[in-house]
Amino acid sequence: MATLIDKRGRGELDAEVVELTGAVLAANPDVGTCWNLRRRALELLGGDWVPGELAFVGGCLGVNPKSYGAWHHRRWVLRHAPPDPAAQRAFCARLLEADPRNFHAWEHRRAEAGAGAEAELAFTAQLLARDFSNFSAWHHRGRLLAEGPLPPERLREELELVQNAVFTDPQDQSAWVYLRCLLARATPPPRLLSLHADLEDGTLAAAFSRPVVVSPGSLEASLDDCPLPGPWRPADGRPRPSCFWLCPLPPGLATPPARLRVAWQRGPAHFVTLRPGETEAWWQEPIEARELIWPEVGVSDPAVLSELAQACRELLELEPRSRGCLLTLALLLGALGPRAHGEELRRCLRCLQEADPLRRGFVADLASRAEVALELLREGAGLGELRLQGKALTSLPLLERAALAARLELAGNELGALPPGLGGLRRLQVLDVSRNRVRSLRGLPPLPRLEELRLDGNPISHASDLAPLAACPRLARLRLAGTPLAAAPEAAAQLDKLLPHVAVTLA
Amino acid sequence: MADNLPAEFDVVVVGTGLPESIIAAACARSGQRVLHVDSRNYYGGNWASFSFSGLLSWIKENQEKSEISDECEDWRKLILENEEVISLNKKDKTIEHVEAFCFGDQDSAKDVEEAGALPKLPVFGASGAEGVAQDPNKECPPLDSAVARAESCEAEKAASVDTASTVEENDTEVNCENEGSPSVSSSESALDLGKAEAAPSEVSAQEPKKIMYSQIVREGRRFNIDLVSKLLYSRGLLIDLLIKSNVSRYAEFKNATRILAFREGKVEQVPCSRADVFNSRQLTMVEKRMLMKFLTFCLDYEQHPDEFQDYKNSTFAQFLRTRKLTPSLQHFILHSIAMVSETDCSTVEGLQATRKFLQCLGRYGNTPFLFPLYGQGEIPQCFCRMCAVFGGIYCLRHSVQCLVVDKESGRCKAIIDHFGQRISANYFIVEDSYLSESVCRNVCYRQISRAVLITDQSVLKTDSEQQVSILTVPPVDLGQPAVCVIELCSSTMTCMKDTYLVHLTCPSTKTAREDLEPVVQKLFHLNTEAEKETENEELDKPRVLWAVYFNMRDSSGIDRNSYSSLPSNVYVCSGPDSALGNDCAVKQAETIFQEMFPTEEFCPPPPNPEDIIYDEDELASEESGLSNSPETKPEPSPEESSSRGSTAVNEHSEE
Repeated sequence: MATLIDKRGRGELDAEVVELTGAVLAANPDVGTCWNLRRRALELLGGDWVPGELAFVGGCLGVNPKSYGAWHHRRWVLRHAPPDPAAQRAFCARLLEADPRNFHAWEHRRAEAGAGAEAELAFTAQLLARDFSNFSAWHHRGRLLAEGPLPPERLREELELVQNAVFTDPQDQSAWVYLRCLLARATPPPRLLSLHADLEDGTLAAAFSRPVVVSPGSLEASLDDCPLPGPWRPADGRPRPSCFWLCPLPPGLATPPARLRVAWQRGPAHFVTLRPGETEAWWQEPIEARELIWPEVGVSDPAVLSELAQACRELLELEPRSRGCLLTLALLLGALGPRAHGEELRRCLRCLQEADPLRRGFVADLASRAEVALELLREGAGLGELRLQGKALTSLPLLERAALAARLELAGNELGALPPGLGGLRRLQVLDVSRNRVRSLRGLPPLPRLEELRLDGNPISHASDLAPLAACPRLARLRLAGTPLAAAPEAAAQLDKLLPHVAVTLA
Repeated sequence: MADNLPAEFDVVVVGTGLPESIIAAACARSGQRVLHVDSRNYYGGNWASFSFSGLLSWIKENQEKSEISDECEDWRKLILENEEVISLNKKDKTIEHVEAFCFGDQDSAKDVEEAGALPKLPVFGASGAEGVAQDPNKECPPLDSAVARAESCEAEKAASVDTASTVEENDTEVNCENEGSPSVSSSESALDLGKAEAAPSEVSAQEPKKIMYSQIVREGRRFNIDLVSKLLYSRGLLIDLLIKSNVSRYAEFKNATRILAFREGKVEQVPCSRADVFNSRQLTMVEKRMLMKFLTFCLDYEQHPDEFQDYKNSTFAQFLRTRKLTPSLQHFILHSIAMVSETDCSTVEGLQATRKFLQCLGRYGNTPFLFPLYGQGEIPQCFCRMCAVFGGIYCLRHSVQCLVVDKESGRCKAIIDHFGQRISANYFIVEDSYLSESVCRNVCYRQISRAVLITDQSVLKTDSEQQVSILTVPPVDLGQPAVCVIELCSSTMTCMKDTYLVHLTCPSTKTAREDLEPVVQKLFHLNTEAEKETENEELDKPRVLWAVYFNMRDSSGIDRNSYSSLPSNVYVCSGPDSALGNDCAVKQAETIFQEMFPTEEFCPPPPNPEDIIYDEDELASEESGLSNSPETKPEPSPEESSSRGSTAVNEHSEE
């Protein structure tokens, strides 16, 4: 090694370097320096070193089949050689024979040695037959299936294969993950869910089904055929993809009627008309029940989903605590429509919470999503108010579907903070977050129509934690009974200074 | 030759079955001077494997019930006054009711010679010493079979004359037996004979599956037919011992590829590993789960006593019925996985058996069993080889007349062999079959029923022809023993291409044929000509080309005290037992070894040959000693001869 460093210093990249690096690498193929030197030397050397080099790397991979350096070198050598996928395939197959989960070999196979998709599927099937606890093989399989929804025949075959696996060993997560991936193959593209125009603060708000980045030109908005200049900004004020975007309306728009037209990425246009005497107007798409819990699901045939759900139920009867099964069933029920299966869904999630204590938080968030979804689907909900008291919510998802709610009842949950997404709720007047675990309102964007906020019983201790409320123009009533702040002697004075126009109830 | 044997050893082992061979290896390994003799001309005793012609000779030998009247009493003069004598058996009586059947064209085989066959060995008891001296090669054909296999394609001309006569003799013998067989009539064989004579080679070329008896005889050396049919549990004692002692390097193994069940008249594959269950097409999803759930429970059933506590007093079969398992799953678990009796296996025993099966899964493959290539008979030979490497001396076809017992101490002092040589030793290991009737008069032996078939197809055809299968056929009447069927393909090196070797084993209730023929009829097609009439359904079954039935004495599990007047330093090894695994033999060998040498380790790993430093002088003297009596030792391979006699070698490593 010292000789090598010496030679590198002198710039002597000759056959001896190849020889020396060969000796080092054969013993330990993870010395990156040697690979680099070897590459430089080989490039200068000339001659047909490709076959010998391939054999050498093959040997090194025998020493350490997961050596990054060696795999990288192999790729590099192959760039100097005529492609021979069959030989590469045989090589990968040999390594996978030794370790069917060698991710390097899978990656290499994908990159250099892909046979036809069918042949590759057969290959993965063969390895899965040996041992199906093989994320890599399932993954490779998933990659081979063309994008988008599968033809029904293929889907059926795949589902049968994966069901065989989950029934054989429901504890094995690889098959469950594949099953879910198989179903979730067609996330619908983001689209506009609702629009809200408000003359009072001169803002046009748009809610999207998924977080997007509105770049100039992607969201066209015009007022009586005259394009709005923008700019669009995210409602939560953070420079990242968001579901809510705001755009200022031109000042002096005091003469309704006015017709706003908004279209996302040349999609269908939606209209909002401001009538005389009104200060706000909105449009909202009816709620799509199937998208609320598992929007990614790409299988459109409900029969397939019901069949799978039935299989999961059978399995649960035998294995009531299989977490893969519980999660899959919950998602399936969500995709089939949360309303029809509300109770089963809740039961399922409760079991999952018990069966999988290590992922308690994840399951709680999923349960929150389910509760919000069920509330959104309740007759008459959505526009007016969302009643979510005492639902053990740990997060507040799906706000984009409730963009027009005026009243949000969240008392008695387990929320630790108010999500920035609340900034998209432009019509929100009453927000009840009593008896939660909110410590601070930092990061809460201004809520233009918020009049009443109840924070009773939250662990808020400093008046400064409430600072964002100063930006809520209409806020008139604030309840802080039972908070540590309310017990502090100087609280009233501080709050009066911070929120001079707000009636604060401290007890 | 007799003069060449030293007159004194530490341990004399009589019989080369598995337990004796293990003990011999263990003793030699711990530095004892071992003499290992067998009165037969092959290794293994009832554990041996034979080529086809070898088996025919064995059949003939065991059908002749003539007593050898070799009443030479010369050795009497070697007995001192204060000594008495325990005579040993001269004729093996452990095999009974041997019945061989050939289905079809055996007449055509009359003039066929076994390719590469060695000359028939002189019958034991004849001028054995000269025969050995003339041709040391043939003394131990099984051990040398590697060499023989290599050259098996080329017939040895010198040998073939003898072989032909052997086959002819055997044919007449087999014919006699066939008179009792309902399936073969002379006209039929004549018909087949015509076919075979017309163009035997063409027939085989067109329909490779159609195997003639003549081909079996010609390819006889491709067969390695086990007298006992066993498999190695991949976590059984024998595997552990083979690995620990490094004897495993002398043998090669093949994983049994599938477990089969016989249910409602059909042979099915039993899914037993996780991969099997996943791949199975016969189980429904729910069945898959139930099976996996039960098997997982069995793996650590002791952790869940509440699950089976209530069924401790019921049978395993009753317990299975309470476990939400479908009938087919119950059948699989009871007969093919636990392999226990439906009527008298308790829940806990069943759970233990299931767990043993499951623990063996996955070590070497998807089934719990290994089969030694070239047959089970290889295993005792491997241990003999180990013994020889550590200086053990081997004499086949060397019978022992008697044990010499000191009247005063009651201890055995020596043996007297058939040459009348007196060989003294401290310990004596004798296989049960060598003990005379007077010693065994109070012993009650069980019997094992065995059948060996050569068939033309597998009992369950799949894509791959090369399957090693184990099938348990449950008894028709409750309480009868189940029959264990092991089917070997040609890649196990136990039968010729396009044939299968099928072993059937069960504890005897009647003669082997009475015990096993019903099962054979269920699984196989016996009558070659009937297929024209019965057509379809019968055609599915494999045809039996050749079959032999015999009963073998099961001398396992016999209390030492049942043998009368046995000196304390004489230990008895039993013959093969009827169980599937080899644990019994290994346990027995270890127990006996520990009784003899309580402080010595049992078969420790041998030193690495590279670490041994040879003392020039000792090496030279060893070599010369070797050349003096080459015929008394098995031919060592070059590698072994280099480490031979390492008891006399300084065993310190280089560092």
